[in-house]
Amino acid sequence: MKIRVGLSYLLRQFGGLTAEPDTMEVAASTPLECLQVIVGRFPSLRQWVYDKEGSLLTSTMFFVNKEKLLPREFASTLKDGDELLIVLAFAGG
Amino acid sequence: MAGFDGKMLEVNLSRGEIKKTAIDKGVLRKFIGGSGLAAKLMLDRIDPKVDALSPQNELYILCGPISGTALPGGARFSVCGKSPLTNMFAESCCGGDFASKLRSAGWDGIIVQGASKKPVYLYVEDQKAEIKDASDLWGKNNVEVNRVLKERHGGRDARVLTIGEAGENQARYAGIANGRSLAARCGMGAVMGSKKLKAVVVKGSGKVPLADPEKFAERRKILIQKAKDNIAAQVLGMLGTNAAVDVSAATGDLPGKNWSSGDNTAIAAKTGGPVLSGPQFLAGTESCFGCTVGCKRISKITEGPFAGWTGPGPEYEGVVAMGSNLVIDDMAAVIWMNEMCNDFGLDVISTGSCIAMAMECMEHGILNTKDTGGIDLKWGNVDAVVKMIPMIARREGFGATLAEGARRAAQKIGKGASEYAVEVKGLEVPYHDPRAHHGLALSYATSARGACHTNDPAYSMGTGIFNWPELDLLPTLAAGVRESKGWGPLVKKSQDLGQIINAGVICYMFNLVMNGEDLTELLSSASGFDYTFAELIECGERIWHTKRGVSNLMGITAADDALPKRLLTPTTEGPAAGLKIDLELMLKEYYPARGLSSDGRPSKETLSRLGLSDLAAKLYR
Repeated sequence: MKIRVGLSYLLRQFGGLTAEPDTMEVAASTPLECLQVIVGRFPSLRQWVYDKEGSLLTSTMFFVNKEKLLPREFASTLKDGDELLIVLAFAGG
Repeated sequence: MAGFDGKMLEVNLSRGEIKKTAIDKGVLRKFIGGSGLAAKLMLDRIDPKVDALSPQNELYILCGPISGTALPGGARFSVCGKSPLTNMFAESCCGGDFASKLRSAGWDGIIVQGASKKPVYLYVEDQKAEIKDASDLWGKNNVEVNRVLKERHGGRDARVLTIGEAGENQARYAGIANGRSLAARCGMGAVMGSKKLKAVVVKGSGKVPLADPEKFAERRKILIQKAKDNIAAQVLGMLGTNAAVDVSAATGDLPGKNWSSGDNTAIAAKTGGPVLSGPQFLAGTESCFGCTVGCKRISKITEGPFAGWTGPGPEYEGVVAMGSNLVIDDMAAVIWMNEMCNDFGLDVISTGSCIAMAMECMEHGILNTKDTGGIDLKWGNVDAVVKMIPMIARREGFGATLAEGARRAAQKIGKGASEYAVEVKGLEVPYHDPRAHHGLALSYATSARGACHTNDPAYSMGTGIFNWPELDLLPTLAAGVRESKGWGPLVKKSQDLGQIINAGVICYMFNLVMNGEDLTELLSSASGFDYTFAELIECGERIWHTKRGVSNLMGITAADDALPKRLLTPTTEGPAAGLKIDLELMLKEYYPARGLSSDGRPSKETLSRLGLSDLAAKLYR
């Protein structure tokens, strides 16, 4: 299954991926699997999405077709053609 | 006990008198300090019917047990009083370096009463205090007054609070500056200006007292390590609070065009954290006293009409207020206009909101250039905003209308302008869109000071960056941040926590790394009271109800727990398109959980349980 995956600007900046395209195609079936594939491709992202023990940081958020996922939905099956956005959560000001 | 003792410097400017006042220990334990203590002082000392800009209002510059300590996030103090903008309880918090000197001078706060006939400033050096003539400073703005008073009183050793022209002219959303930081919200600078108090200068030679310095140092060490390990704290250090612009645009949190645009990604790309902290605009970073995070930006402008300026960079709120909310994508202009607001002493959130309202009125033909003195307030017009900011601060021409705040200005303009005033209880809404986060909608509608995203951390817990497992909020959060159901009890708990943080007085962003044990250990070792987390939560509840009760006495009712029409109308595009807030449902769930009666007053049972018989006697006589 092909999923179109985007990373938020902060993740691309911190992972040193600003020269990469805004989105990339990933063969995976769930948001968590997509993330694993991308981190495998770009190891510099690891520290920004996982903690030292390898657990997902609470600041890692997923959006599918612009809908924010709840934590219980992170392992749900995606459909071919879905658009996944991975965001480093932050609030300020 | 040698911690936070409640030693107050009480200054009566009408009579030119200065005296020392001690706060009762029992009161300190129950109200902690900062805005919590201010609520109790307002209840006891201010006639709720007084005009906020009259000598009968009082101005409270208050520290909390954590204020001025070397804890990262501990540099802060509160400025409180009756607000001229909302006519109810008001609090405004500020970082910088003032609190550390005030406490090392031996004071936990300053109470200002009355009003001087001529401009004055208060000079405090350890236990000595003096009211001095400020005639030569009147008419000057924050940067200049800060510089002059530091030169006059010993350079870096002197810590200074000032008001600019906005405070002097009692613009209703004027703030108070501590160097590069502002206690901006609710118009406390206007209260200071009404008292003809131009500045406060403090020099202190002692140490900030802590009841148990070893225990405090131990907890501080733990928290510094936590901050080093925390991703969001690292982001904060690298990109400042403006890093949020990028995320906000992606989640529908970022408002634009006076909250009418739901898709603001294009402006975010030109004004977000990476741009502000990129090589074109970043001159350096700096921290509040004692902080290891360093979220403050020092900006530079090297090209265009504002070239040659270097100084404090904008926070997230300033960038959005002067950026997407006005449809301006010129980062240099945004930085400059934010600096103008700070120097004149205007709250940048309220300033942006009032100008955006005027721009929308102009777009719909409610205003024209004859009304505005020839200024073409169309979307994206930088020149018009640059002209309008000084006019607001000086109450000149159409600026005098906007200086009244969005609610009053819209009423004065008429012709349906109120539809474009985005405020709650008179306080302009900060720039996080509750249509993308319904818990925030309830926070805005019921916050103790009008629309506020830092009075309780429900919003930041919903986004996943704050984590308070002790509050058992996660099951409720699972209901979803984009649904209205289930938020009532959660916001209540979150508000109780928020009152403790603000009474502390602890940087809101330090919620990133704290938990209940940290908070309890910090406040206990700093104050000397053997708090438990459960007792602190009860303090938070007591403080919330005291603030609410004071505001009830000033005229606030259930009808004021509302949101502007603009926020109850879904956006038609962007990540939060079509999401509709059901405020009626949320209030229905919230009121019983909060312990409010149907008319919006704390119930008698709630007041009795919290030991607030004095408030009950005033509310139910």
